Amino acid sequence: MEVASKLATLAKRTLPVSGVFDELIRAIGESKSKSEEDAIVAKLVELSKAKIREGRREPRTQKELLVYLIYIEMLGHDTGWAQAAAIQLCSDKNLAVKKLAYLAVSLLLEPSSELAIMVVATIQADLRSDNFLTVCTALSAICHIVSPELVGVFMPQVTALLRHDRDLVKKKALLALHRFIQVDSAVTPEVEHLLIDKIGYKEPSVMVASLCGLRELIRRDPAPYRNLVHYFTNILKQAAEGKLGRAYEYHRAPAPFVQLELLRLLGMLGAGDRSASENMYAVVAEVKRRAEPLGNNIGNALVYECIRTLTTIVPTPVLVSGAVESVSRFLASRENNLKYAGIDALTRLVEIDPKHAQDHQLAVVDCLRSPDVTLKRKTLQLLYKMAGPTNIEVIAGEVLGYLRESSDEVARRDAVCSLCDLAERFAPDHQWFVDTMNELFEVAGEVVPASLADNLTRLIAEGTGEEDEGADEELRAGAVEAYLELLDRPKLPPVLLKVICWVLGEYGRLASRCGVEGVMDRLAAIPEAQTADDEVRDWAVSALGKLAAQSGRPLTRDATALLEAAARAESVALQQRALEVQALLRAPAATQRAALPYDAAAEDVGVDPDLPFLESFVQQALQNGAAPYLSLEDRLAMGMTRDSGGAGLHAAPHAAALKFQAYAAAPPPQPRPAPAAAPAAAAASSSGAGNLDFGGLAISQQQRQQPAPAAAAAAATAPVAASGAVPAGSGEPQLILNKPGRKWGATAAPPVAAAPPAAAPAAPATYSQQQHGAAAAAPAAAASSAAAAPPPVVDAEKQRLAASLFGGGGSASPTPGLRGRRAAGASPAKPAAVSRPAPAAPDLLGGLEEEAAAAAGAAAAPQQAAAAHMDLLLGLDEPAPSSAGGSGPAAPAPAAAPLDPMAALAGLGGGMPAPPAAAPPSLMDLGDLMMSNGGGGMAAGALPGVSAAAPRAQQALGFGDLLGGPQQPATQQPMAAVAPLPGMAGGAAMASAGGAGQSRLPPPPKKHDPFADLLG
Amino acid sequence: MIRFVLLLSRQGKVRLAKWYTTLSQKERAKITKEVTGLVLGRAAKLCNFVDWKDQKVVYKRYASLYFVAGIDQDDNELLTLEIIHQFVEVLDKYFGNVCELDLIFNFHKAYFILDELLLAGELQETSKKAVTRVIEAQDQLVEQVKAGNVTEDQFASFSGPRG
Repeated sequence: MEVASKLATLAKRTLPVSGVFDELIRAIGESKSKSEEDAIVAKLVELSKAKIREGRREPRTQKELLVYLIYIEMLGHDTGWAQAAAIQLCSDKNLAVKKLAYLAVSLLLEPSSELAIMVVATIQADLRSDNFLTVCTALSAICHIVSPELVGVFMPQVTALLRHDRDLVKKKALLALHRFIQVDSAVTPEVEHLLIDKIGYKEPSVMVASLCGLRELIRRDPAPYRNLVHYFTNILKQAAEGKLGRAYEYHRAPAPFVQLELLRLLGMLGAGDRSASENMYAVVAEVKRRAEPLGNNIGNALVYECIRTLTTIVPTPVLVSGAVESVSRFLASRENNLKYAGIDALTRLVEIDPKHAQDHQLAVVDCLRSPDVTLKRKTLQLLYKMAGPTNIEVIAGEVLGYLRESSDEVARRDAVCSLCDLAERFAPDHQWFVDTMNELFEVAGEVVPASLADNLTRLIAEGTGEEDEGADEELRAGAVEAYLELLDRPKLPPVLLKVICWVLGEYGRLASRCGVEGVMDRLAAIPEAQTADDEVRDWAVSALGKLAAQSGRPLTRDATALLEAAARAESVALQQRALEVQALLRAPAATQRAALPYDAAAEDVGVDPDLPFLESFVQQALQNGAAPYLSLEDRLAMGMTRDSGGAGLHAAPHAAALKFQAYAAAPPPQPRPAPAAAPAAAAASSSGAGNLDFGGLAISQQQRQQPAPAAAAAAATAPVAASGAVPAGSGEPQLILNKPGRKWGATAAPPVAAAPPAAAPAAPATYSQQQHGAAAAAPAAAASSAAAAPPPVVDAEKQRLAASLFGGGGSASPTPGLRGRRAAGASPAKPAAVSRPAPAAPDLLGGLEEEAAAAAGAAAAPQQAAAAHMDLLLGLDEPAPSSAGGSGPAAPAPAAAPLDPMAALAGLGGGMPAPPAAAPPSLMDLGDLMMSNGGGGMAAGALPGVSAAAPRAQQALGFGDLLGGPQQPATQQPMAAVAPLPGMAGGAAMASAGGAGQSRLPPPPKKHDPFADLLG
Repeated sequence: MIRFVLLLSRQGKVRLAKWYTTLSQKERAKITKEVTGLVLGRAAKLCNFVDWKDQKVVYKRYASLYFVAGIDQDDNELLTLEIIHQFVEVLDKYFGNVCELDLIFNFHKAYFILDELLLAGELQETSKKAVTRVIEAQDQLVEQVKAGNVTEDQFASFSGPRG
């Protein structure tokens, strides 16, 4: 008998293949290098190809071929040349060959391979086979190759097999159903009852197979399956008592895998449902009680799963206290696996009640110091959960230490996010927060998300949110000094460099030691000293611009050199930025200060999406024969455009597609709304202004063929359209009809009229950003006067890490952290973020004259300066009205293009909310006002309209002109040649438009931003 | 669910690879390479779990072979360890004191056994005996065909011992 069994064993070990293969495999095993191995694989490939060519039909040869293929694939080489042969062999009569062929196919075929379809017929035939082993093989193969399209093909047969008289087949059919649910959730209703039917099946292996599918369903939506809890607890009880038979016993545990499966199901079903949870308590306790004394791996796995279950469901004190005991046992173990499980379980328990961590202080510190990265990471996750105001500093130190050592990117990202979250919640004071963030950026800058940099700059800009301006200044000065010091170190990550640039640009004048010039030099040295990319240069250039404008001092030699280099840079964005700054710095001081005010980054910017200040311009355009603007809905209704899935603002121009329907007839020119006023208006506007007719800007071939995308494109690449250069980015031939006759040095009036169009299209991009920024920042942005909570007292002496970690107890903190404090101030802030009602739109009749008059009449110096810029703009790209006015189908689209963004945009100039504060009439005063009011705004939510805007918004807006570059690439692609100027002019134009607005409305107290922002 | 099972030699050679999620050849190769480095680089006595990307890798070394399984974040690591162990026990029972050479030269049988144990990333058979029985049934069938006891035609309708 023994001999027989030995012979059987030997038989098992005999190879299905020849000695050649044996040799090759041995050779691979002994090969020392990859090239050696590759050479051997190449030999194998040769052998296989020869076999395919021979086409012999003996099972032995075929099996050999398949084994070769699997082996080649396993070594990571391509097997595309043999896949068809393998598929062919699936229909072989010999079961051994068939099984091998299916195995080979499931391993060889790529998931998306078209060849998979070739196996389908074979599998269907095999499912009908009388031999249950063939059927099982086919079912296994289904699990491997099924794709969503194939689910329907196999479904009827697989369902029928659930009634097969062999349990093995039933089991595999159930698992195939499970796979169907995985790949195509649409089958759920069909499959659901089939699975539930089998829960009560007498054969445990079939029952377990149905549980797998059910788990997939329950994971997606537990609610409909809560009535099954009763069955599951019953089965679990039987399994735990060993009633499933000895065959399922594993290391003395009765059917442990079944128990684990059921525990997981119960956990999902009981989560958040008290009555369902209550039904489980008894059985979970029973399972745990029986598993506890086993003391082996499987017993521990069971106990661990019990803890996971009872922490997922609605917890009960009795079970939790039992779990705490088990956790102690796990943590006390010498095995790292158990410690790991213990820490994980403790993390879950701490979520229920932070006090549980108290009992395991030393064990936790032990794990934290473990050389095992996995264990350490797990322990850090526990620390995140138990962090509070008292231990945040210690925990932050631990996390930073971990970041220094760890190299796994995902783990680092996790740690960074968690630390930021905690730091925001529990920071003892702002100085600490800033320091921690700086350190964080330094050690893990490459994984820090950009939003964190925004958070940090916002904090510096907003300060403490209390009324203490002095403390804010101190914080900023501290940050400036810290950053100047940091710059001495090499290889700072770009995200940190950006923050440094921003802070130095904004608050560089606070530098006590080196003065503004020193700061400029340091900024200018960044591209050299650090490995800075164009984006960082961009920020540095912006910072220099701000610094020079605000301090009123000229740039240093180094700084000038940097600017000049940047103006010739390859990157268009950088070039534009540099030229903008250069141009701005040549402007009068007042303009500079208006465009780049000091410490106004956190100010609020109100935007009126109706752009009422453009009303007169629109009217004029209409009178000149432009087609009226059609809203997106109108265009959709008319079939002129496709809904590109969102506001047209963000839609990118899509690839040209053929259109089959005829173009719509051009709508007749709109009757003039105000016939009486029209002639006057037309007369008032010079011909130069008239030329800015949107409808006639330019007609590109692209627009002709595709009105819709063109409109979308115009929105995205706004300035292009405005400048009449026609959307770039589409390499298609374009016909540009620019009227050459342009005038330099027009009177003041035309610029005013012309300003909005130039500026407006540039705005959408910034506008949307600003909206996002504002929305995101709203809750946090407000500075709350109510939050007077003093920084929590942190016990200074951390003689023992444990003491400091656990000293203060859990995360239930009495003192709200930064976030809490901010949140407290959130409510008054919110209204500010909502755009306020626009002021009365300009009178349709007299709007134009009024504005023109206002601009012309205003004698203030800044306005003249602005006008001068304006002229520059007009001279450069003033498009002709061209033939568009009546040119049929193409007309509506180009006309719509520039207007679309306009409508979407708020009335930047005119629509400024007018807070109750004083209304100084001239732009000159604006800066001062901003300063004073800025302070007021920070101090309280008292002024409902004045809450601070987020740095995000501020970056997009206040410095959108300078920083906008990296953030809105869309605005840059267009005109390489004219690049810098439209932007400049746009800003100036806005300034003048704003000036015009002021004469009619009380100017908003800190509304420099919208103008500036349009520069971008 | 289990996303993949890898058997690695101590030198990092793949002895068996089974994937339960749809991955392209390239992705598989990449994962294999990274996981191999990760697992082989671990010192002894550390815990048998490693975080890797969004997954966890559970591994255990038996003699000169590493058995590696990639699982989801919310899976039970201890359980996975036991599944691996059960696989090893079945292999051991089938081959009778299994060694690396058995797997090198009969890796397709190891695949068959794994297929009986795990399907679609889930444990499909929790009874060691049942797994062994199915595999033995197949072997017998093949033997009988070879020995001429069953002709190819009979073979088609042959029904082996009850599984």
